[in-house]
Amino acid sequence: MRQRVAAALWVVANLSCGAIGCSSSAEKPANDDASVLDVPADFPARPAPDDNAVTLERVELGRTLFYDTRLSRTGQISCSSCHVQAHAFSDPNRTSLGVDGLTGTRNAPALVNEAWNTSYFWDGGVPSLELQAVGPIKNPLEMDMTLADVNALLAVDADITARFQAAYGEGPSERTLPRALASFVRVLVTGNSAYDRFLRGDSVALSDSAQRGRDIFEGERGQCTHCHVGFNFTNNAFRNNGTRPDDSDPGRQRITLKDSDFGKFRVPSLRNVAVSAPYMHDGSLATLADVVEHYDQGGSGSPNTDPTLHALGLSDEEKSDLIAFLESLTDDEFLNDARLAAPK
Amino acid sequence: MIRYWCFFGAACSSLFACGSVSDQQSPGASGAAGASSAASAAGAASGGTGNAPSADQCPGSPTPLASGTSGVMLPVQIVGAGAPITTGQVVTPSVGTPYKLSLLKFYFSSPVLLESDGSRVPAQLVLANATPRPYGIALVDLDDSASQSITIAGPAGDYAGLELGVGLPPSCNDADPTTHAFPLNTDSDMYWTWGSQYMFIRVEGSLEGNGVWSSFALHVGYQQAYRAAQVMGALHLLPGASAPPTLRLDVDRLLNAPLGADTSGADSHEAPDEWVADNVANGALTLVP
Repeated sequence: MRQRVAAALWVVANLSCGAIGCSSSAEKPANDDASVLDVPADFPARPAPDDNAVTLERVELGRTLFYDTRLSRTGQISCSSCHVQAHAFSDPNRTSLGVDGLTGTRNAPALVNEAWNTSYFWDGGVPSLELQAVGPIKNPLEMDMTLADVNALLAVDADITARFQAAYGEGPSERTLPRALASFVRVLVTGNSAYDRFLRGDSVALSDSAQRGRDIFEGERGQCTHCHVGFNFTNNAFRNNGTRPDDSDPGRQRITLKDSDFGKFRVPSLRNVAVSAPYMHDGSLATLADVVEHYDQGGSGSPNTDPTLHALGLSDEEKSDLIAFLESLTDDEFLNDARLAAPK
Repeated sequence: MIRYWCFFGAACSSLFACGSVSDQQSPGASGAAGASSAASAAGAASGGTGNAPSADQCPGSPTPLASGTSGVMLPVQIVGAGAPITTGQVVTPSVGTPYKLSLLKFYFSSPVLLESDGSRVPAQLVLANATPRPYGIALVDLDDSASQSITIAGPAGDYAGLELGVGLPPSCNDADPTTHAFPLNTDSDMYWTWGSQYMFIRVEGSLEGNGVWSSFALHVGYQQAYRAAQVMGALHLLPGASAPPTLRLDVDRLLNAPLGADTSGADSHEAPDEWVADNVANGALTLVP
């Protein structure tokens, strides 16, 4: 009897598909587990623009494109070349290798909980994930492609074109390509670190050292929450965190043209920070110990250093505790989530 | 004052083959449309110091032309050392450094016709078929001869000059390039993907000094670099008018850098290079009979 019911439902489904032009198997997303769209219950609702609501079809299409080297002029670079899942979708190199071995000047940031950010790139010049996705594709030091050329390559791929149609009602285009990529980045949600479990009631999730480090992080000793605050450990603001005095990168000033913004960069989330070395906008600090030392000294002397930075005078034990807390922000489930990995 | 009217399209086979009607006899329907167009163009021409409107205020199908509108096609000539130039050509100006361009593109927008008594008459940029240009703008490209003319539509009459926006009004400068067609799409290569705005003028090439060629890149953008350039000269939007004048951009004057300006390209992504825009507004762009 169960088999007969199932067969009847199959027929109904087929009829419905015929009436509305339903997709073929080729249009099915690579992963049909909609749980990839989930957001931790204790996170704020995930924002998405009206014209790019998060759907499984769009996310899975974006996932395929994220790992697709056809997005680069040489056919050798994909988004994942510089945003490696094991490193919280960051690049373990100080600066990333683009086409023809070219390199830029800034470190590829981790892609964690980007949906909640209000601006993108280190200087925050881009207001949406959709527009952010265009930058690396067209950057001559990164992928060096026109969107037209990428879309022409994708348009001859019947499978992916069908998936574009299913996700957006049109094939690969200047509108749909960045939206699909943005959809995937929007579900790179990390919220199950030891710290998160501790907050949810698992009293043994944090070591004693990490708990002391948390007190330093949030309290007067470290005052890290001046900038790294909230569920995503960022105030989404721009700060000069005391970078090298000879650093010529104008940072936020490039966008606002204000002298007062020289050397300011977007405050990054600290989630998975232990696996996203090297650090700072230029990848100039190799380890968490280097970062803690940097802040303990009140920065490295940039003339526009944020006034909240000052020498802390932390003891060696306090530094170790602070690092232990930062390490507790690692979400191994996120780093190994097969739903976010390259499609098989 | 006699104005000439023209129903573009089926009723008017040529931009200049129009009938005439007095102001008072203008078709009633054109009044509201004309006022709307005028307000829009006047606002856009004001130059980008106010709050940026949302992107949907940069419509792909601008206000249809009002009845009573005529047009004139102006060739755009890009010259160096007094003669038309092409990319890759070595130009030796009478004053200054030899140069050669590898790329030169810029936007026109927000035209205003100027009358001899100083009054301003809002106009529109239209395509050769007399439909409004998408977004009301034109992208001139040294490497694309088809881009090297613009057609101005406005009330028929004799004018003493023309004002042209060099750059984009704020409404279009804030447009989303992934939902806008050429020339506001990303592949127009005028969009700063790192800054979410458009370059107004993009000029790249190399300069010669002591026998050595050094590359330069001047990317002029940010709203503060928008200029309304006034070019004076007789301009007739009349049936049977004589050959129209030419818009001439003198690259010698365009590249006339003030003392201390960095033309190396090192700051081309970090400063609006307003002096380039100033040069366009102060003599590099002229109207030549």
